[in-house]
Amino acid sequence: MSSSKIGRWIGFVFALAVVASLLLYTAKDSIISGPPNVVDGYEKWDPELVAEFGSMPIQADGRVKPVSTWAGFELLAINGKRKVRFVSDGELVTIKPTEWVLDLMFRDQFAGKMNVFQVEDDGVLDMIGMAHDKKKRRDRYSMEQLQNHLQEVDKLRSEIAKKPKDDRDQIEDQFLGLVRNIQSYVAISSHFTPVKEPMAEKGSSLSDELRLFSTWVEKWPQLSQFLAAAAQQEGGEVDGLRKVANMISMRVGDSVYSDVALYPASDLEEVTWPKRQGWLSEYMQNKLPADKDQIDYLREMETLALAYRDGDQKGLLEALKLYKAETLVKMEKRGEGADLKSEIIYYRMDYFYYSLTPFILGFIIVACGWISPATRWGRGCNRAAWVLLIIGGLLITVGITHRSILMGRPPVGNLYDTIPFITAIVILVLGFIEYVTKRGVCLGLAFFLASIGMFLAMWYEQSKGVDPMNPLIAVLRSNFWLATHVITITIGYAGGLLTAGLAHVYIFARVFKIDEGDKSFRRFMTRIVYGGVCFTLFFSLVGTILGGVWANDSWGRFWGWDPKENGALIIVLWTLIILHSRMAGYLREWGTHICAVIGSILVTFSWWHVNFLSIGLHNYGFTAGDGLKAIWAFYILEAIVVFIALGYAINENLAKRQKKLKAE
Amino acid sequence: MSKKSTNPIVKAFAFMGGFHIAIVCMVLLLILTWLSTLEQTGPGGLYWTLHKYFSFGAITVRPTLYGNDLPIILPGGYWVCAVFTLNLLVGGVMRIRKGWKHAPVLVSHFSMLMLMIGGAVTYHQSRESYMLLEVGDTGDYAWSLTELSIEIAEIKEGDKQEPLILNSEVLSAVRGKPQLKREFLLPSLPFDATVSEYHINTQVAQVRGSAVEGAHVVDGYYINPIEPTGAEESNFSACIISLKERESGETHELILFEGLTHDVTVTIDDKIYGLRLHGEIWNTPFRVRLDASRGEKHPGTGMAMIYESDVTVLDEEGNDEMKRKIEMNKPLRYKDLTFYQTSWNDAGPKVESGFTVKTNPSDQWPKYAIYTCGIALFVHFIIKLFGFVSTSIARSKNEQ
Repeated sequence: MSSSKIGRWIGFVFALAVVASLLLYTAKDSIISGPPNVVDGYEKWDPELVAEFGSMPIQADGRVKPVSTWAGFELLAINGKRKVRFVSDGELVTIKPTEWVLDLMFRDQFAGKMNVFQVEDDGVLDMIGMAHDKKKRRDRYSMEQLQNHLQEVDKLRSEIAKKPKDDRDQIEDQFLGLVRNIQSYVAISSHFTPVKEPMAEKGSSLSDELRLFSTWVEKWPQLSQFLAAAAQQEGGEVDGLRKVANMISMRVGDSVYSDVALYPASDLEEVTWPKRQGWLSEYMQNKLPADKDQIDYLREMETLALAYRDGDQKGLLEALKLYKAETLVKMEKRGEGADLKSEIIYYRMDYFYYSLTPFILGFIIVACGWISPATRWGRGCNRAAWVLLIIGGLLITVGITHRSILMGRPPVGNLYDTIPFITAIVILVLGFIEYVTKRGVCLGLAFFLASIGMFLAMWYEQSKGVDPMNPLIAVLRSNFWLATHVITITIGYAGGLLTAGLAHVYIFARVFKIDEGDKSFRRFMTRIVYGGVCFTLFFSLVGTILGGVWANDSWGRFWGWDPKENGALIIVLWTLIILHSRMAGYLREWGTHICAVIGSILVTFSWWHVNFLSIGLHNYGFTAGDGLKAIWAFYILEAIVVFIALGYAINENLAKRQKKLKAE
Repeated sequence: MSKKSTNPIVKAFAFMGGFHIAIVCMVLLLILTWLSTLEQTGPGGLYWTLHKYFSFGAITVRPTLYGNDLPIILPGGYWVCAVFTLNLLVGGVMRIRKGWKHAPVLVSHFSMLMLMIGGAVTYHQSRESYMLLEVGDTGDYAWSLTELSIEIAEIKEGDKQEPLILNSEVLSAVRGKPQLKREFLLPSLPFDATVSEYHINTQVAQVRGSAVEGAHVVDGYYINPIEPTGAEESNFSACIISLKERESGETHELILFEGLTHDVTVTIDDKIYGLRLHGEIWNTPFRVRLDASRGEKHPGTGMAMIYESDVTVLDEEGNDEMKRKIEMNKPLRYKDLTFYQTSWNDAGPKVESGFTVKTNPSDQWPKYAIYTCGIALFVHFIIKLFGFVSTSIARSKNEQ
């Protein structure tokens, strides 16, 4: 077998290995390991009720969004994925975020048993003295398991929170993450707590009106005086009133954690929807005046809670429909929620996730074509791959456009936005080169980079657990600058990465001898890598200086040596070094490709690494330890490629010299 | 083949404009940028890291990573930029091949030259201060958050007279070097001053019981130096100033602390003098009145959505000259000064708005540079791309 064929087979096996490892990586979180999570007696929610509840508006993180979106990110932050799996009466059950929130709000007896708290390192549990036998180092736990340790959690939280950020170790940071997740969980689970049960059953001495907790709240100024007077007296009747007073006190005590805004403010000028938080408690202690919105909100929630209590899922569905209809009318008056349906469609379409299918399939097909590239088989594979590339590319483009319309701003405004955008640019540019050159090289690379891009988007969304469509801070609210500086700099990143990808192809082709010594192929690869460097330079340079012009308008300085700015400058300088070194004759084929690979390290530093430095104006506050590990793994991988290529280049150079000497 | 010149001036000129100088400068700049990015995360923060790497006085740099000094010495960023600018002028503009084909590259080099010179002008000529106004207030001065000066003024019947200023430039010899002292001769005053123990970040503590060992106690107080923070504007400096009466030779020692909002006074020759360590005051050439200021946060969050201020520029007689709205990304540019919305606070009885006030002669140079460079590079690369595409298409046709 010739060395080129061996090379092709190595390439094919490598391609399959990459695809398999990516699939395994995403699958690993979905596999239930160890003893199954048992939640016996679980009854599935009616799909109509789930759809109705999921499409309800909620105000969270500075914008109005569907409950389904909010629930998705709440669950993602706590659980690390958007699904909860457990065994109920011997059957495997999978529920989605909206169902989980319904359980949390209405059926805490089930929600409490679900293992949803993802703990990255069991050292966190050791801190609070919680047993974790038969569990993995990284595993999930239920609220019931954590319940008995909440006092310890609270005590430790105040101690660790006092420490400066830099003095905290990774386990302590993870512990604070768990605390935040517990708080988020309780903020949802306690939402209906004060109104889940009536103040008395039907037929009791209380009137229908007084059976409602919201009535007691509304008439509290009068009723509290009546209860206070009764407390001074003795007798059987008074005992009943004391019982009511205790009941109110308990409900109020449990009410303070609710942090859910499901009710639009009545005042059209008031942009913030009411959240209960500590209002009820302070109002009942006469520390705050009555708030009509808060009382109405409580009454509406009570209607929903009692509808479920008395009429089960059917009752809740009817009540929910009525409440939603009223809310939508109110929102129309306020000019809110016009994009709710569109957002539900966006998440249902899940463009980026579904684009993975054509990308992975396309990669496999292209890899199959490598076995015999110049035959009908090879050409057929290429044609099929083109179709898949167009489908995948369209899915990403539609996804980006849809997001952009929903956010009402240009497509790139935060770190998450950059990932699909860069992927789209990579597909577009590599597709263009492939179309012009028809060498088959860029097609495979486009699939490879697109698959990595989409996996990266999923991984980032999961690890961050924050809605990436949340609004931007004041200084970023400039569509002009987002559309110019941010877009150009992001295209520059894409250029640097795809150029490095092309350089890898050259290096692998030379190392595995796939190119069969074809000098025209080598020249072609060097030309497109050179073109890629020019492309990167143009967009990085224009983007960097435009960023400076923006900063000059925002903060009064063109250049502030902010890490993100510095990262962009490093890319610009590196591309300039490559171009000038080529012109000066210092870099030839190998040198250009090696430098292009180093370029990918510098792009990664600028695109990702600086966000972990926790300094500067562009700091996104993303500090997950896994992210930094992944970045270092990438650096090491690329450094290995660089050293291998250097070794080959030096070896080749020495061989040439020896040949020349012999000839002389 | 063209003959190489042996004239040393021509050779030096060629050397200065050569590729090797350009490449070495760019590699050094890249390394300096990268190291300074990482060093910013350390205790020096941005301000001191920049001072260390890119200031005029930084001839060489010894990088520090994660608390450890690296065993390398690099040239200072300012000087690398200076050599690079010279190289750009000689090699990228003067010696570069001329002609239509090379015009875009020439223009882009020229734009970069303009950008570099603009950077130097900004470094040496720009000035930045801070103005804080409550709604309804008129401001005619701003103060620096990072450059401190000592004001010495006679106080007559409670009124502060025109102060004598020891500015940040003359104080830079002792700032952050507590072991050094510097004497200032003040012929307009009956005393001379010596500044010493000038610490960047301090707390001034009162002696309780016996004094802390080694502490220089002045009137029952001493300076307790603490580690400076990276954010220079949040440090509180302090120093000791000794005033020596010229006639009697009597010395008066005072502690000046940046955190004090009032003057420290001393009586010499029956005259009262007030002294203060304060952000350098900059009297603006016109007055600005804050008419209204608005701030909005994204609903239910603490995240800023909008900060904006309505201001009126007043003429010399105090009449309204011009009304403007200052927003994030939309500053007020007027008579060489630019006002940027920097902070906003509605916690007090009146809304407060903070503005960064800046003058920079090369303020708009980067904008012009990027327009010309962007167009030039676009034209250059498009020509190259067309060449590539047409060659590739021809090659495909030949293969068919």
